Amino acid sequence: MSRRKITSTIIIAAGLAVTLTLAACSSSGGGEENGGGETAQGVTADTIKIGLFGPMSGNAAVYGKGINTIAAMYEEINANGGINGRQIELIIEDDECAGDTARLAITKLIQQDKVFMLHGGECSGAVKAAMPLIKESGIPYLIAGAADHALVSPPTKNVFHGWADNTSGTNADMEFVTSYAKQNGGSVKIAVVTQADDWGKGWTKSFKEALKESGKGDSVEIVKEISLAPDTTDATAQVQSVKSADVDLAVVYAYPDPMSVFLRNKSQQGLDIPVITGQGTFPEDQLDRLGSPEAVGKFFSAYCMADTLDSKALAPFKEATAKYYPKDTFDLSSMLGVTGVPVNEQILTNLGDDLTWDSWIAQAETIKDFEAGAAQPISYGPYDESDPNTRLGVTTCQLAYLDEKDPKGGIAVIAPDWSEWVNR
Amino acid sequence: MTTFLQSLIAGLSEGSIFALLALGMVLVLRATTILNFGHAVNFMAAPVMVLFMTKAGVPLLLASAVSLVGVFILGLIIERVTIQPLFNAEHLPQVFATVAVLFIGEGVVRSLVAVPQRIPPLMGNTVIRVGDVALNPQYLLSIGVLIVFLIALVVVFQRTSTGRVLRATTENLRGASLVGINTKRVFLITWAVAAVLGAVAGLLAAPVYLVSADMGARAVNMAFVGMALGGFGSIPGAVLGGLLVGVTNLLASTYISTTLGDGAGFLLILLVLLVRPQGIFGTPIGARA
Repeated sequence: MSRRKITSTIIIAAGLAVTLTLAACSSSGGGEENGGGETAQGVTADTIKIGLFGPMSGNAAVYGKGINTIAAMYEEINANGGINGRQIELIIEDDECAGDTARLAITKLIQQDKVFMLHGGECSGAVKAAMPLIKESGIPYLIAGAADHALVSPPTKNVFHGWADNTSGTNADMEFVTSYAKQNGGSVKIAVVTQADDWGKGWTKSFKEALKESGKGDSVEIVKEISLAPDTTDATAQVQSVKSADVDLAVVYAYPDPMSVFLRNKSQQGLDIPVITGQGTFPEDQLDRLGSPEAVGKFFSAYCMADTLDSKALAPFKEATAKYYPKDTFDLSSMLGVTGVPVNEQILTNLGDDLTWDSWIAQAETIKDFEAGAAQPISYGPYDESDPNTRLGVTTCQLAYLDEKDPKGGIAVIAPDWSEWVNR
Repeated sequence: MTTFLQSLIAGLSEGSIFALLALGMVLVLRATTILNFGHAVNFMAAPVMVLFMTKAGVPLLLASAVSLVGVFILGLIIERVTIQPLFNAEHLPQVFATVAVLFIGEGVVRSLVAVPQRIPPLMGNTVIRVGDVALNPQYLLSIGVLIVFLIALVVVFQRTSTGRVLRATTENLRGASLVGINTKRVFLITWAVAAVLGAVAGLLAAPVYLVSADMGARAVNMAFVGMALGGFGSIPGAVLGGLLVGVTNLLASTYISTTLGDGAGFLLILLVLLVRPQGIFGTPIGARA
């Protein structure tokens, strides 16, 4: 039996055991009392229990830094007296960026820990796997950084995105690519490299839709479409394929691990074209992984923050992280999905003592042009099953890159327009 | 031609990692008839040690050398704690003991290294260019190290008394015991040497794979494929199988489809095993007397 098979069997068996045990132990986990009644699970006179989850270990553990910042921001709220006199009690679970583990974590948080609400999720695949449980329970849930558009489209009544989904990132990518075409003879040839899983395919689909909806798609010729395995350790085939296609740009949607493999091979094999990606793979992290400034030159990542990491706008997040997670190097990964905290603080503050699931959802729907500090203003709306924007937080992104001549100088942020980079 | 050569070298480099891992597993299999599922622990252990030592300021080369000694000792301990007590047990408990080692090892590494981390390549980042072909020195090192270890193993097995003892134990355990060979000691040493082979593969792979609890999963799977392809228990088979898997995966990705990836290696093994179930260099009967 292969190791993977053994692992799967053990996980499934453990999952079944835990699920059955929890089902037997809990009589009315998501019952009516949580909906419109006077009290809700996870709320006492002094505390509000919030279940926070994300990839704290495994290949996507770099995204766990975003969860750390979220936790740090809640701790800071507590340090300042809490919300309406109540302290936030956080219960943090590791979903390992895996669907099975995420389902177990969510089940535990809702049924065993009996949290008032959920916050977190940085990996789309993991969140998607847990979504039926969340939807069925009706518990309020603020998505952190998980970016698949399918998480909010069609929208789910009790699920709100505290950050940007992939449409925000791919719109920025699309603008950048089409502006390149406009300034370089009216057309551009590109290659699209997609991580071979639902996450990668979701990004590529979103990028193509953005091109189509922009009406500028005719200026962009996708010459090559290739895939990249999430656990790849060599991207020579992909790099050579892109090289032989003689394209101007490459749009690559991949997790940090395969992206670093691609960038390393690209740099070493002399493929000197810009690479554009979404908001899940960041230039600083890639520099950390590769240790080579040339490898991250001309690498552009969708950037959904309002300002740079050293800006005044992001200072509260940076300071909280330094205070509560001093070992974390504050970078773009640390900001993934953090705008949900000020939004949630606002919602909970407005609710006063009316802390039920229904009232939280109703209050969230009133959030309009809310300045979370770290990103563009956030707005939700009354539930409309045909409008994802009623549940989507941040909708505008820019692009970030590292200057290869001064990589230690930190990222620079530009509007998604080719001339912005040319005239930098 | 450039694309072909570039892919071939990358494939040979990946294949060398798989082959080194497969060599370690073959050594254990030949000596003990145990398929060591815990070999990924050896693959991870050396890079983890190097990671912490370099962070503490130990030079990379020294840290690498110390880590190999560390993994040799780790191999001795694992064998003493998990295999020796099961020396006379059925085969299945022995294999499950190696599975237990794998999970414990992964757990320990996960607790030590939550976020995947990088250790620098032993040969630096400067690429050597021959015409249009970019030669990554780390790739060349992997291929070179495999050749050195292969020659060393062949010499030890064919030309030394230690090799004769190992071969005797492999071919007939009872007979070896009767002529006075300390078979338990042979097992112990074999296990530790195999662990070092896994550690060497890990050190070569770490700059690309990144150090994490999951770094060994794919490589060990591919090494198993290489072993099966070359013939279980065959040293030349492990090397050839590992290299074939690496090269096939790369060339198939380059020339057929990038979606094929590792599937190409499995397809190759399926085709070979249909024609030759014992693998390329395997013998039809693998059971020991």
